Amino acid sequence: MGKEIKKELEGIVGSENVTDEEFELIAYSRDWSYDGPLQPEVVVTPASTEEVSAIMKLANRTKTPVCVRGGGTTTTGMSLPREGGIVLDLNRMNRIEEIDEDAMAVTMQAGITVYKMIKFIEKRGWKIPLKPKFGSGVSMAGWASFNGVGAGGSVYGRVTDMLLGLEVVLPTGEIVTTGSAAFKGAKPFCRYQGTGPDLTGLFLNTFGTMGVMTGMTVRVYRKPEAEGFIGYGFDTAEDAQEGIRLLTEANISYGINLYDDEMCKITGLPPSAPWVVHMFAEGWKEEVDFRVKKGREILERAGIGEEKPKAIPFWYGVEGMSSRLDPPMRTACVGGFHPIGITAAVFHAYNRVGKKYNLRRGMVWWVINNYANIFPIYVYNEETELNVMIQAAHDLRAEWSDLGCTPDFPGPNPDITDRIVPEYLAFYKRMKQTLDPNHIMHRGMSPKVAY
Amino acid sequence: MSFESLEQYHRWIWNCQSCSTCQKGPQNVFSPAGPTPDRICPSYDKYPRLAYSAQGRILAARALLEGKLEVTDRFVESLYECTLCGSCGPERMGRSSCSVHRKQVPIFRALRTDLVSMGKAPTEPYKKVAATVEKSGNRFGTARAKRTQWIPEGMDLPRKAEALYFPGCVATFKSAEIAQSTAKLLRQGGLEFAILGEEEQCCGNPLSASGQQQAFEPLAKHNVALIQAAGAKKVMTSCACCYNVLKFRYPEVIGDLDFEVLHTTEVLAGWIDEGKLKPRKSIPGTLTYQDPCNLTRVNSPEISILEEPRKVIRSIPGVAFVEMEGSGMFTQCCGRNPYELPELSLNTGTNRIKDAQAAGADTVVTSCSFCDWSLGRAAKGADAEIKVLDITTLLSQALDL
Repeated sequence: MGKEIKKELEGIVGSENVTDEEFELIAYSRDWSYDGPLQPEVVVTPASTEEVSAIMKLANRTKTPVCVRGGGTTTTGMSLPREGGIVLDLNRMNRIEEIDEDAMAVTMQAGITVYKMIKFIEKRGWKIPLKPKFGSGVSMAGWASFNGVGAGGSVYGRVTDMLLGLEVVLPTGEIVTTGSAAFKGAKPFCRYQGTGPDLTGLFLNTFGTMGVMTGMTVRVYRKPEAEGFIGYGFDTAEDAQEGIRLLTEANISYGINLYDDEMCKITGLPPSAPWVVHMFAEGWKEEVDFRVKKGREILERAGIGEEKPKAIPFWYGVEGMSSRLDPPMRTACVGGFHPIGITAAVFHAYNRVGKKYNLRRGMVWWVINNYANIFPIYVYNEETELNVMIQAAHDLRAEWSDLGCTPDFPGPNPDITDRIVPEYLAFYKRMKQTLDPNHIMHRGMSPKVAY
Repeated sequence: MSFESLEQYHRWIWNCQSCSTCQKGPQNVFSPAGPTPDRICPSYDKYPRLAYSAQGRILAARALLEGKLEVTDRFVESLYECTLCGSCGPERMGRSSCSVHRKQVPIFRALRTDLVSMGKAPTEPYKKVAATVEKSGNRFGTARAKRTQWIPEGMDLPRKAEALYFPGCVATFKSAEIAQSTAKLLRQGGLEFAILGEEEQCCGNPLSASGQQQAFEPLAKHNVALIQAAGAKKVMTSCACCYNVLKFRYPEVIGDLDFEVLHTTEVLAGWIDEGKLKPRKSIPGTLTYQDPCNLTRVNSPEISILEEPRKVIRSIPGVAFVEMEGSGMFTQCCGRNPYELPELSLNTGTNRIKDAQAAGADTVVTSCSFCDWSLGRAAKGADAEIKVLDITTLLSQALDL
């Protein structure tokens, strides 16, 4: 990268918000994945959409690769620059712009952390549909780019389902608003409106390959009066699978989780059974009591599982993915989605691969609407077992793909391009080329398309 | 280049997951609206780029050990833009959710020590403090003979006793009311105690924290020899930084100490329990308490002094006590180094003053001379008036001493 690009960047955001010092670049060379080190050539920390727009125009004109980074909490390596260039750190874009209580919507800059936003609205008696639990640095832009999940997914789905619109800077620098706010005079109160296809969806689950999310509006609800919980233990993966299937089918849960005893051990919770299912309910007090009672009845009628009255609610992810083992170990997560009906098979494949490579492991599922999101971890020592773990991750992805799972991210690692139906890939390429003609955004991500 | 000290932490450095939990809060993501703050790292808050977070510094440490990073002045400056408050490594929800566990501060200390050994550190302000301490025995460059000027009129303090009060430089030269109040309180409790007087030297905190081990060791040995010569079996400090250095850093260079180190709040809270001290004078106001990092997470969960200061404050009639967002093990740094890190310290202290105001407090009470200094400095620039008081000053007012 030429010095003149850095100079232009300094002109846009101020020299104090641009750096190419080696030690600063190293700090951006890893994220919460087993990938890296991959260094940018320059790091820029803009504070406004206009600054992002100017940066993108510069990058597009000079064909400089751009990698957007929020909290860097992805376990996929998506926030790492694979071909140098600019890392666009959005962490200074952390303002709540408006809470519109009439529209039940909160609008924010997209670099704000998920938890700062939740904290802000909770103090005013509101909640977002999902309860996430990741690294505390996770940004709203990152969560939406991932089309992430959270507890509450059983009823509310994914981040996609709570967005009312985005503000996006396209790779060519134009600023676009999606959702109802794309209509002159309308506020961001509704995602779908009569102005054409759902362009919000174009940017979800893309990890910045289609543009830079700089703002967003999310729907909010009043905090529920009550929350409820039951825990059931199962002896086999097959029984546990049937347990979550029955609870999902009954549509009574706010959240359903399943985890194995190894995950309990790794996270420091006493395992109460080889398999544990947690069902959460929320709403009015009477409603919660009813839902919990029904959950209990359903499992008991099926004659599977045993209630564990002392079970500790465990619906979040961070403990599972951030090991506290002593001596220290790292964990790698290779997530994905699958129909509930293959839960046991998915686990057995995961277990088989882990055993083959002699890796300690643990697994959690969150039920999202009618399907399951897997958070499997392999525990490894970065000094000595990195390559073993990478090989295990690749084997696991291959086995799961054969079973009919889909990855929970579009790449980059392990690359899933060859698993995608060619017609879809061609369509994706056309869309990508239209939005990002110089292919500057997140180069090296899969699906890999060349143009 | 040899990173002998840093090598000890090889495994923790390699196994940092770059998960971001050391940069931003709330620390308890299970309950974001709970009383843990959005800020975690004062350094990252002031300079919002990853190199100024624990994660970035640990990645740099790894690159150094791998021989992939050259030590530059800017890099060294960035390493020292950290108050070592340990906020990056506390446990959350009673458990560590970070694979570096609580090793961040030891890693940064080790890195600084190695860089000093190589002649590449510390930064100028730390060098100046070290030179001043070497010349005068204290960080302010004040004549040694003035070490006893804080002693309240008419109070005669011996040089030998089983109990000894170690006021430290700030309470001796800058905020004498802390040392005076402490001495009066200890007397009021009926304790016969000694001081080291003119012979006392800086505890060594600025040297130890900046990795200047060679300069630190003689100070530690000097003070320990004096304490032993005084026949002291219990040493009390009113400054959390002195407490941390005497209790944890001295044994690292000297071995096991043959005296106990206590913070004065431990003694005072015990006396309040026993009825030896009965605060009767009402101090009307809404008070909050700034937990010094060096009484909480920087030590260990087992040696955290959390309840004692609160017991002291709550014993005072008329006081309405409120907690700030981020208290106890989740406390936020005061800024700590007004001289060495003036901008970082002011930014950090100002944030903390805002926390106190948001909690509705009109007074911030603390139990560390450095918190008192740093927060006092920040309070001067606050929008609304807010007082900063050391806990010993507060208690002596309530006892009318």
